Amino acid sequence: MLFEEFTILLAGFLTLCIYSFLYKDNPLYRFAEHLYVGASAGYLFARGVNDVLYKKLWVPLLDPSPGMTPDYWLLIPIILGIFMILKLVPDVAWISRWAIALVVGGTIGLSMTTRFKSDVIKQVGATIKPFQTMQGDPFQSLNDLAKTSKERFQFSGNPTDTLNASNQYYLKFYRHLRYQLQYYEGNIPAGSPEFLSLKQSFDDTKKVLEKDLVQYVALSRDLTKMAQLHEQLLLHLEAELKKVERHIANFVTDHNAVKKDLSVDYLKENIFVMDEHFKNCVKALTKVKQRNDQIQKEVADFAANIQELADTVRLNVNFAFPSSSQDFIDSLKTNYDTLSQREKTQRQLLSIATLFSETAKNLGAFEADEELANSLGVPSAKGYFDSLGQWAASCKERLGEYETLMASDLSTVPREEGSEFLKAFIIAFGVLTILIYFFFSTEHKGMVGVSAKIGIYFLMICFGSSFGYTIMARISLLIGRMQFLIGDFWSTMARFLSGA
Amino acid sequence: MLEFFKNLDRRNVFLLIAISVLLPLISPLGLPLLPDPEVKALYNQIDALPEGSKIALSFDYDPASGPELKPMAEAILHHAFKKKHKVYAMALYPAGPSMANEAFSNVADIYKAEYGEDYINLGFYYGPNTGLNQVAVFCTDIRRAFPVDEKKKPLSSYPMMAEYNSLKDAALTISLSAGDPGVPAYVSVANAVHGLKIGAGVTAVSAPRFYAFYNSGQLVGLLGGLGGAAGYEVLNDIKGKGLSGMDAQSMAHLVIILLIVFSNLLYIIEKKLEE
Amino acid sequence: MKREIPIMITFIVCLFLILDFVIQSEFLSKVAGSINDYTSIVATFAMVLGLGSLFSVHLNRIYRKRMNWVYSIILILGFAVAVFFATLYGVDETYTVKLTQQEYEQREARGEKGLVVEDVYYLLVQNKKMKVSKEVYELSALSAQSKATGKEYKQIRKNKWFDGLIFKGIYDPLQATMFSLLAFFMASAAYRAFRAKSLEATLLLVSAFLVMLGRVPIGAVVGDMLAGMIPFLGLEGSHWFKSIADFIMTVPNAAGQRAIMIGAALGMVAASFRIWFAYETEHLGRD
Repeated sequence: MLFEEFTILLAGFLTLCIYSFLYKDNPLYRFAEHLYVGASAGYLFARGVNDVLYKKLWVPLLDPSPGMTPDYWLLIPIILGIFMILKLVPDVAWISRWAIALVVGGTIGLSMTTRFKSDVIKQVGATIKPFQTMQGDPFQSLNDLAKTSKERFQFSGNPTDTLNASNQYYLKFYRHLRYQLQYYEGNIPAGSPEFLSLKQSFDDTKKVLEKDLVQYVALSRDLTKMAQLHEQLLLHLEAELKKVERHIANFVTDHNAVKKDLSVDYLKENIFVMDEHFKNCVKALTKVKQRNDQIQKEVADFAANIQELADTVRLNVNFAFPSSSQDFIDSLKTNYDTLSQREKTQRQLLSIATLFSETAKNLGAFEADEELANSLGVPSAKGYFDSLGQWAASCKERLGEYETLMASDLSTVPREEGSEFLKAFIIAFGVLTILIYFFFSTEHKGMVGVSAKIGIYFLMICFGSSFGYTIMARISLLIGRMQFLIGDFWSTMARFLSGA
Repeated sequence: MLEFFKNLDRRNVFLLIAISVLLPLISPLGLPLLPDPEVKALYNQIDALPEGSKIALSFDYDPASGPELKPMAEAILHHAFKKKHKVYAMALYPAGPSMANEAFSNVADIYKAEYGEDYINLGFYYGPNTGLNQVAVFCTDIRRAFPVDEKKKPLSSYPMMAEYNSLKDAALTISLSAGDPGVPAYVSVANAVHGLKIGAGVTAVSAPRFYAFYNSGQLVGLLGGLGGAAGYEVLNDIKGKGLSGMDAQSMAHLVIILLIVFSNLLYIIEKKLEE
Repeated sequence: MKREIPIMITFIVCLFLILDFVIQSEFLSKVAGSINDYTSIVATFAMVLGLGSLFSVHLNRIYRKRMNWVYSIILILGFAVAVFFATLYGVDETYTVKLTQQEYEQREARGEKGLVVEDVYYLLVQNKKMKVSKEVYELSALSAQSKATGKEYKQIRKNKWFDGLIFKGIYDPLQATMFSLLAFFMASAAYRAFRAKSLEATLLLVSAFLVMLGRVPIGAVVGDMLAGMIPFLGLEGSHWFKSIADFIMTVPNAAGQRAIMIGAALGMVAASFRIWFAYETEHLGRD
C-alpha cells in the first residue's frame, strides 16, 4: 500500500472515530480526540518555531547571508520572549510582565487608531453619506458647479498644477453629465428654461477645454524630450555595467597576484558584495531596456491621443444651441465623449509617469550619478528621474481621488434610486435605535423606551440572520467531511479491500 | 405520540441530518444557483483589473474552515490565472501556507502558471491574535515579514517580487479568513489607514458581520460561506466543490427548518391541550 | 518597580504607534514597524506558555494515574511524534537532501524521483573557491585560471511524515471533523429549545428561516411552489426568497452589525485608554 493511501485510510478511520461520539461516548472517540490535541499542538509548535524563531531570529542573528551584518536589535524581542517564558517559574514570574506590556501596548496602540477609524468613523460616515448626496434640482447644481469652478481655475503655466486643478473640476462635471443623460433622456421640452441655463454652463466649459488642450500639447512635447533622454540613459548604463565588470576582474587578478594570505571571510564578503552588485546592475539594465521600448511606444500613443482630444474639443467648440430635446441629448453625449477621451489621456499620462519613476528606482543600482548627469545635461540623473517619480505619485493620488469621487454621487438622487434612499434610511434608523438600546445610562422609558424596543427588533432580525448563516457554516463543514468519506476514503478502502 | 416527538432521542435528529446531507451528495439534484450581488461585486473587481495585475491573497484559515474557504480560494485562482494576474499568497494562520499550496496545486497546472513567475507562497507571519500588527508590516515592507518565501529561498530570486514591496503595490488584496486574524485586520489597517482595496472570503459564521463593511464600501466584495464559493463558481462557469455541495446544503436547511417548525407546532399543540 | 516598568513600556510603545498614525515621519515609521515586528515575535513565545500549561495538566494526570490517564499518554506521544518529524524533515511540503555525485547516480539508477543537478560557478581567489552567479562567472575579463565550475547534487523529497502523516493524515481531517460535529448538535438543540415564545423570538426565527431559504437553491423551488398556489396572480416566485434574504442581509442585518461594531469599538477604545494611562493593570497580574 502506498503511503498516500495509508494516510487517507488513517484520516477516514479517525473521522469515523470522532463521529462515533454521536452514538455515545466511547474509547475510540477519546483516542482520536487526544491524538488530535497532541498532534495539533505539535504541528502549531513546529510551525511557530520554524516560521518565527528560525526564519526571523536564528537566520538574521546567527546565520546571516555573506555581506550582511547580524541584526543585533533582534536581541530585544529575544530577551523579552525569554522573560515571557519565565512566567512558568513562580519566583521570577513577575518579569514576564515586561513582555506582556510590549504585546499589550503594541496591540492597543494599533487597535485604538485603526479599529476606531474603520469601525467607528467609516461606519458612521457610511450611515450619513446617502443623505449628504441629496440636493435640489440637478440643473441648479450643475450651474453652481460651473460658476464656482471658473473662479477656482488658475492657469499657472505649470502643466502639473494645471492638470491637477482641471482634474478636480472635470471629475464633477463628468459625473453630472452622466447623471443627466440618465435622468433626462428624451424628457426635455425644446426651448425650455433648462436649456438656457445649460447653455451658459456649456459656453464656460468650452473655454476651459480649449485652455486645457494647450497644456496637454505642451506636456506632450516635454514627454517626447524625456523619452529621448531615456534612450541616452540606456547607453550610459551599459557603459556603467562594463565598469563594474572590470572592477570585479581587477579584484580577482590583483588578489591572485599578491601572495598575502587573506582570510576566507574577507574574500567571501567582498566577492559576495560585488556579485550581488553586478547581478543587481544586470537586472536593472534589463528592466530599463524593456521599459525603454514601452516608453517610446506610449509617448507616441500619447501624442496621437492628444490629436484625437483636440478634434473632439473642436467639435465641442462648434457647439450650437440645441433646437430640440434630441439635439440636447446628442450634445450632452458629445460632451460626455470629450471627457471620456480626457479620462483616457489622464490614465495614459499616469502610465508614462509611472514608467519613468520606475527607471529612477533602477538607477539606484548604479553609482556614477554625477558623470551620468553631466552626459545627460541635467543637474542630477537620479534627481531628475526622482522628480518624475514624485510627479507619478501625485498623478496616482489624483487618479485615486478621481475614483473616489466617481464612486460618490454628487448629484440629486434620481427617481429610480428612491429605493436606495429608503434602504439607507432604514439602516440609519436601525443603527440609531440599537445604539439607544445599548445606552444604559438613561432609563428606557417613554420615547427612549420605544426606540430601544425597536432597536431590539432590529437586533433580533440581525441575530436571526447570524443563526441562519451559522447553520450554513456548520452544515458546510459536515458536507466537506461527507464528501471525503464517500469520495477519497470510500474508493481507497474499496481498492485496499479488493487488493487484499 | 406527542410525548414521543417531544422527547425524541437526539440520535434520530442526527440521523435525519446525516441522511439529508448524504443523499444529495450521492445523487445530486442539480438545483440552479444565482450568485449574490456581493459575490458579483468581487468577481467584477478582479475581472476589471488589467491583465498582469498583482493580487495579494491572504490564506487566513486552517483546515477546520477548509470546506468553505478552499472552494473560494480555488475559484478565485481560476479567475486570476485565466486573466493572467499575478497572485501573491501569504498567511496569518499557521496552516495558511499549506492551504495555499493545496489550492495552487489544484489550479496552477491547468493554466500552466509557474511558481515564482505567476504565483508565489510567501509563508506565514505569526503575531497577536488581532492581526493588526502583522498587516501593518505587510503594508509597509513585505520583506520584513517574509525575508524568504515558503520554500526558504530569498525573495530577490523570483522575477515577480521585483516590483512588489508591500500590499500597496497590489491592485487588490483578498483575505480568505475564518475569523481573527483576518478580514477585520485588513479592513482596519490596509483599507482604513492606507486606502487599499480589500475583498473578503469568509466562513458563513462570520459573514453577517462583514455586511456592514461591504455596505460602507470598506470591502469591494464579499463571499460568504459555501454559497459564496458556489456563486463565484457559477460566474466563473467552472464547477467545483462549492456548487457540488449546495444541493446537500439545501436539503439540510430544509430539514432543519421543518424540524424547528414541527417542534414549534408540538409546542403550540401542547399549550392548547394544557389550556 | 515590578509594576512601574511594564506600565512605562506599555505607555511608550502605545505612544509611538499613535504618533505614527497621526504624524508622517520616517523615524516614527521605522520605530512603529519595529514595534509591530517585535510584538509578533514576542507573541510567539507565549505559545510556549500554552504548551507548558497543557503538559503540566497531562503529565500530572499520568503521574497520579488519574481517570483516563492512558489518553494523556496518547496526547503527549502525538505531540512528541509531530515535533520529532518536524525536526527531522522540516515543516514544508518538501525537504532537500544534499548528495554526493556517487549517491546521486545510485539513486538515479534506482529510479528515484526529485533528483536535481545544479550548475555552480566559482571565482578562484588565492586558490579558494568563492561561489558566484553565472553572470559574474562569464565576465570576459577573467581568465580561465580565475574561475571554475561545478555541480551540486540534491534530491527534493516529499515531506510525507510531517506534511503527509501529521498534517494531512491527522490535523487536517480531525480539526474539520471536530467542528462539523457542531452541525448535528445545533440541529438537535434547535429542535429541542428553539421556541417562538415571544415577538422577539418569532422575529429571530422568521428571519433565520428566510435567510436559510434565500441563500440556497431550494429557496427558488419553494418560492415557485408558493407562487403556484396563487396562480391567478401569475407571479414568478423563484426570486422571492433570494430578494428577501438579500434585503435582510444588506439592510437590517447591516444596521445591527454596524451598531454592534460601533458600540464594541467605542468600548474597546475606552478600555485601551484605561490600559494606556494605567487605570487598568489587570493584564499585569497580581503581586
